[in-house]
Amino acid sequence: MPLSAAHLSFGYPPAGLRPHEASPLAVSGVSIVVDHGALVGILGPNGSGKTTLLKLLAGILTPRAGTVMLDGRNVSTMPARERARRVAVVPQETHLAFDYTVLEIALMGRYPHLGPFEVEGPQDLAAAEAGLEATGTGRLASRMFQNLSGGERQRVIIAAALAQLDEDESSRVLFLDEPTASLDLKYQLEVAALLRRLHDRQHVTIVLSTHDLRFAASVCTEVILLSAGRVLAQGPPREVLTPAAIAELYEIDVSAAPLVST
Amino acid sequence: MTRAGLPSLPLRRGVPLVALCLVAMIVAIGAAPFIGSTPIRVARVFSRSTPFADNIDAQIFFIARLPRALAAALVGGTLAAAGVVFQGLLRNPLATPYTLGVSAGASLGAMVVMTFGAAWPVGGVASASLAGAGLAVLVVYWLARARHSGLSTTVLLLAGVTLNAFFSALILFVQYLSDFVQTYRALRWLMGDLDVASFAPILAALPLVLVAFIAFAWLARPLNLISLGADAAASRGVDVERAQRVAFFSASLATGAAVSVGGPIGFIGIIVPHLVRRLVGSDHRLVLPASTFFGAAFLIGCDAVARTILAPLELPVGIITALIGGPFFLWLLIRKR
Repeated sequence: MPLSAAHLSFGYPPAGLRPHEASPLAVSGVSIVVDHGALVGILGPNGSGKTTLLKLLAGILTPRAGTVMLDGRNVSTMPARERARRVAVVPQETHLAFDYTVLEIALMGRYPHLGPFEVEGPQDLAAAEAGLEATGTGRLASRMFQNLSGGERQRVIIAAALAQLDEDESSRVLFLDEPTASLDLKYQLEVAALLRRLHDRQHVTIVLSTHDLRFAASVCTEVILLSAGRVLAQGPPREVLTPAAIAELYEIDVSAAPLVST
Repeated sequence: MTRAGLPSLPLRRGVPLVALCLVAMIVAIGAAPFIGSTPIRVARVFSRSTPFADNIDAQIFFIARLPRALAAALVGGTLAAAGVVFQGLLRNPLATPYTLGVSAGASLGAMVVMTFGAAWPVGGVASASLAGAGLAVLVVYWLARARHSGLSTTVLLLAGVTLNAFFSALILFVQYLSDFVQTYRALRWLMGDLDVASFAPILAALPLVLVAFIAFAWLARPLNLISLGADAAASRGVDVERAQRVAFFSASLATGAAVSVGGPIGFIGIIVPHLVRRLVGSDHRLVLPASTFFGAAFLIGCDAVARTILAPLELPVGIITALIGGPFFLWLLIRKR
């Protein structure tokens, strides 16, 4: 098992005037296991803690209690650059402060592979190009990122994430936060196909958060249902995404809104 | 797609443009001393037959104009590079070296010593402005840290802008207590002036600037990643909080040093980075050196205009940078979209 979390809890510091008051937990007592090469979807309504859990698993946030282990090592005590070579994160949306070309963005994925004053070499260029090829964005290499469509941007950021990860496929995990939330149907299908391809051919372990049940059911090999920061169920989509579970998850009457047909 | 069709490393393609900016700076430093209300000739400046005490051309060159050109290069290059770092830190292309209160602190320090100066121990107005800048930086940093575990750039921005306004009020208060001579001197200082008249102020500021530039060199790549967002940078292995702290203190140090030499000269720190990004793109490893060299050349050019446009009257260079900079910047904004 490359990635596992045990009794994970986290709460954001309160924004008000009483910083010492205990804040509510965004993630509480979560224990999960992600197998090699799995494609896991974290499902839940808005505010259920999906993104927080993703950031905890990826080591961007440090848990208040519990641990995240990657190949037997604690993610939050691993040196940042070493962690970044095994774990990459694709945020929901990327807003650049300054505009870069697509190739420059992909090359930024090589950051954890270079020393403080080191400049990218041929092998970094090759990794960036491989990432762009794998996501079908090689022809965009010299375009400016901010002139791309939402779907193209998403794929370029995935390319940078692939360039970031070590060649060794056994211990690399790609996290995606709501990869389809801001995309229209055509791009949703493109991203879904891309993730399946990465899963089938490159055997990348993928963990994504989504509130789109159909997307999760069609793409993921396993889903985790998250409600108010707690795990309701975990398993293959066919077993977990039952009308009863969905009704509990979204607190709706599923018979009135037949969204899923698995 | 064939391998031959793929572009080479983008960084490498920017290097000639950075070299071009370097050449522009060297040419400007070499040429500026020969521009001025009194014409001087190269042959006479370097003539060995006349002793220095009798060689007017050499005196004008080495005492008045060369230090001034070098001061312009130091101040212009430093302010432009500090502007780049502040813009990267705040993820905002409209940030300037003065956004976070450094210049207001420096000005307050300078004003206080000009008005009540007798008791100030060493270094005169320059060291007082540096002390004021340091005070402002520490207050802003303390505020930005007070309620957050990390460094909040939003609080940094709000604290800086507010402190700017507060210090400006204090400056007016100090001015109100000054006599006419002191007020005139203070006003001239605020306009920005590079008439250093010796190498001493340049040499005093140089070590601080060098320390800042070593930090800038280290910051170039982390600032690229911070352009993608703090979380994105963190997930790629950047220690974002440390990079932000280093950026804030090094850029503030550089700005304080530059202002102690030339006063709060405006617009360099925002115009030059904008122009340079159009030339070399956004990679900070290109933008930082290119802005440094081009900023140096640009301020030397502005100073040459300031010295000659109403000759024999010499205008403070801050008036010229604002006169050129303001409309030019507006033109850039209109042209962009």
